[in-house]
Amino acid sequence: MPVTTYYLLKRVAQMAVALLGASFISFTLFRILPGDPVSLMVGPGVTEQYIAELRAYYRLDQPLVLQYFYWLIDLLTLNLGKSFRYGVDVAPLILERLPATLELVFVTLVIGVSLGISTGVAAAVKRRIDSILQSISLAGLAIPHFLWALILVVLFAAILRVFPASGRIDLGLEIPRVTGFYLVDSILAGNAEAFISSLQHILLPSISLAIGMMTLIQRTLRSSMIDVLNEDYIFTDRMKGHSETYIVFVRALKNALMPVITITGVQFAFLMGGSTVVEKIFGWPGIGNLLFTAVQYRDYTLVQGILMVYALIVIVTNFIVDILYTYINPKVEFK
Amino acid sequence: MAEKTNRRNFISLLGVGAASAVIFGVGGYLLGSSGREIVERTITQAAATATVTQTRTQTVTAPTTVTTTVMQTVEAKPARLVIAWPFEIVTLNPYRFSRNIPVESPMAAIYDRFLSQGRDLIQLPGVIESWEWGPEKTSLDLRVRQGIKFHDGTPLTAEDVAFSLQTMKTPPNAYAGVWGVISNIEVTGASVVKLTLSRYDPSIIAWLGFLDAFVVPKHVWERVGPDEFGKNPVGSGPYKVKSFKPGILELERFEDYWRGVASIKEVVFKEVLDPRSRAVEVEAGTSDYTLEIDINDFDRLSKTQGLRAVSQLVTDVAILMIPTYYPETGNINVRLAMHYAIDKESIVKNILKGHGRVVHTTEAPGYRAYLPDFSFPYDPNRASQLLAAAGYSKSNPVKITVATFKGNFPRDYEVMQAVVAMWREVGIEAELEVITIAQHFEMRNTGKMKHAHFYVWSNATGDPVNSVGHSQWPNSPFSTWRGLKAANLTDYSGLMDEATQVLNPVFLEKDEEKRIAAAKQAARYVVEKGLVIPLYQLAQLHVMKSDIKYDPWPQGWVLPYYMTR
Repeated sequence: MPVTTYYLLKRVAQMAVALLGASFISFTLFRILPGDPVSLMVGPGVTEQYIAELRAYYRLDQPLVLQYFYWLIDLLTLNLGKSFRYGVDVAPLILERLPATLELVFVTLVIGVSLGISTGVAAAVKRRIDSILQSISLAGLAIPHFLWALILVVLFAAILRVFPASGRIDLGLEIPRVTGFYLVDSILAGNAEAFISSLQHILLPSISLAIGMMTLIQRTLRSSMIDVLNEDYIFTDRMKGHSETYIVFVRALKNALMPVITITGVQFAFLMGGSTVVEKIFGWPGIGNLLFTAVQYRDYTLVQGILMVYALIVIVTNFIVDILYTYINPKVEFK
Repeated sequence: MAEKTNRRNFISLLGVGAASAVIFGVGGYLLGSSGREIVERTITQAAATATVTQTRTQTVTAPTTVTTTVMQTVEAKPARLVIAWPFEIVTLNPYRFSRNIPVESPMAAIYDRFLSQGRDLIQLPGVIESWEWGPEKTSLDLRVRQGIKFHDGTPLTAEDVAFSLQTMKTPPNAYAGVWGVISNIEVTGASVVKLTLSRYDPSIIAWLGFLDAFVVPKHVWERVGPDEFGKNPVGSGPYKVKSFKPGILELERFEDYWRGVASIKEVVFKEVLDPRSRAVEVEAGTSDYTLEIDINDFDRLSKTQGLRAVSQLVTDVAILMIPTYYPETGNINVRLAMHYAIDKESIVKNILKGHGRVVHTTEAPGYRAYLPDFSFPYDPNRASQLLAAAGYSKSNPVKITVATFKGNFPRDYEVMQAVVAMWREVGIEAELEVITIAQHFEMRNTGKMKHAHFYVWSNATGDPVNSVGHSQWPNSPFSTWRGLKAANLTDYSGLMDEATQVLNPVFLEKDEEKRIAAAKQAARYVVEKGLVIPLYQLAQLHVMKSDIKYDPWPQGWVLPYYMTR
């Protein structure tokens, strides 16, 4: 069997095991927490008999192991069940809101990675601005993203009023749904007004999420870059008379990026989780917002569904990151 | 040479960075909704003489007449109104999920209830124009109003009413348990629906104008199914759905609405779950109306030019639930001392900043079993005496644990911190434990409550069944007694049977006058026996643009139909 095929099969198997583990954790974690979902579902005046019927309807009267088994079987057929709270199918509910979260995370990645790399290179190459960037990055890391979100929303939406406080697009603007990503769909529709409006709406939430990521990348890349710039082959390049731009951006950066790729992969997972609070603050209608309420109301099926989607995305992302390693650094091989 | 190149690169990087920053800043500003207009508006606002336009509504009493006629005389002025909405809107299926009263508001804009309700909480004719009890009050004839149209133009009929009721009582719909009391639904004439009840339920009339009691068109529901109906609903309410996508519900007025066309042409419910962001929404002018914001934001916005802030007392009463399956709280002296030691006026004034009203029973003003002449005084000396009689003092305090929420209701945790401090002054050493609402329900159901639980009891119906009744009746699945019975615990108060006898008439008495009199007696009884400590009535904080003419409702819902600009 070719090494690449073997590697891919191995990774797929690992991903399946990881997903199974994630399913077990997302299922049991919530059910062992105190809190009765059925009591939250019913209004006053109900009888004990009705409560028992409702428990049976949602299989809550079954042993946990059986409940897990049934849920797993449903999961294999992509049936995430019905939301305890809303009574609607969980899968379409998540799919409807997932693009909003993914769009937010992708734009955050673009901002975080691009600013992180540019400032990281600047800090490594020009040491005189390093201390300034270090101070800025300390603030970036020390202040959590939800606080950045509040600062940004107050400053830019309430005081300066240059950005909208919440939502994905201005009211009244309609874009035909193709991908669910408003920035992409507005381009596909050739609607500049909708694109600008979408961009305006996504900037503050994504910046508040990107600040921490940017500073982390910046500090990591700076260290990595300084190490690489002191390597013999860089010295040889300089002796050969290559321009500094070529040396920094072509020869050094590619090798210095390895830890950045690792961080970006890890940060992606954090962004998926971290977006929950930011979505709430910016009224961003993604699955984070949905998760927030689902947790409050012990909506087991919805929480499990969202957590499984998170898990799937994170696991696939890590897989992609591993593939990227081999592209960036030929020394890394499939094994 | 290398140094020179470095500097060049550095300058390039700086240049790119600076240019990006400028593009970002200026671009963002220019992309902003007409930057110049914003500057002008800000300058105008700064120059304007600030006039505080805070309105405070302190009672739930109001004229009992239906506002229908008022709406018909108001000249329709096309306008769009954006409401920064504190709750998620996931489905518009009116029967699916259990919710608090304000969450109903978008549904109430789209659908009509069987009965409507006045500001005084009295049930009024709605889709059902009259109703009549049968013999023994185990059947009810509902006469359906003629001439009502659904948004698709089809007439609302008795069949639709019967179908809606039948759907509501089918599990797993949220309030199927409530409607389960209806054993048979029959259309007995062109416009009459007969309900047969399995037992007398005095609150059934109130429920016909409450929570999920909305009428849906049978033909649409059956054609598309409940899930699709929840996405593209058809009602007979004052507004029909223009578009519904995640986070945004856009409504447009229904021109054939039977009560008269709404004044506001378009209404948008915009999902903004964070209270600070909602405050920013109205402050920045991107939303016209919001509610349930932080008290500090409310006070700040009430002084903002162009905004009107209204603190509306609503039908939510904060109470301390006291289970009697602990020896400490089984002692009536301890329970009453806990009540005497709480300075409620101080809590409302200093912690809630006046946004609330002290109550002395579970029944707030406007409720049918409200007792205007009854009060339970703040008397720390009396509390100390009662504790001494129970064998406790400041040097030998009674030790209890109290469960509270944190952030579910305005300043809930801070209120309980103050209560704990007040108790400490008389010899009650309480430890606060923060729980979630889900935990509260589970603890209540399984007999694992702490010595006292902070809880907010809502009763927009005004009927005592839904306040003192279900909160205190030992046969109710919502009282502290439920857990005691479920876990077979000891009732150290020895009051369960007596409480059952006192509260039974609230549910069983068929003479309405006698039932309300019994409910008043019960409301007094549970307080005098220390089975509950009523604290205060909550206020709902609304902020709106000052050109909006609207008085918030004591039920807590937001009804755009009654708004004009």
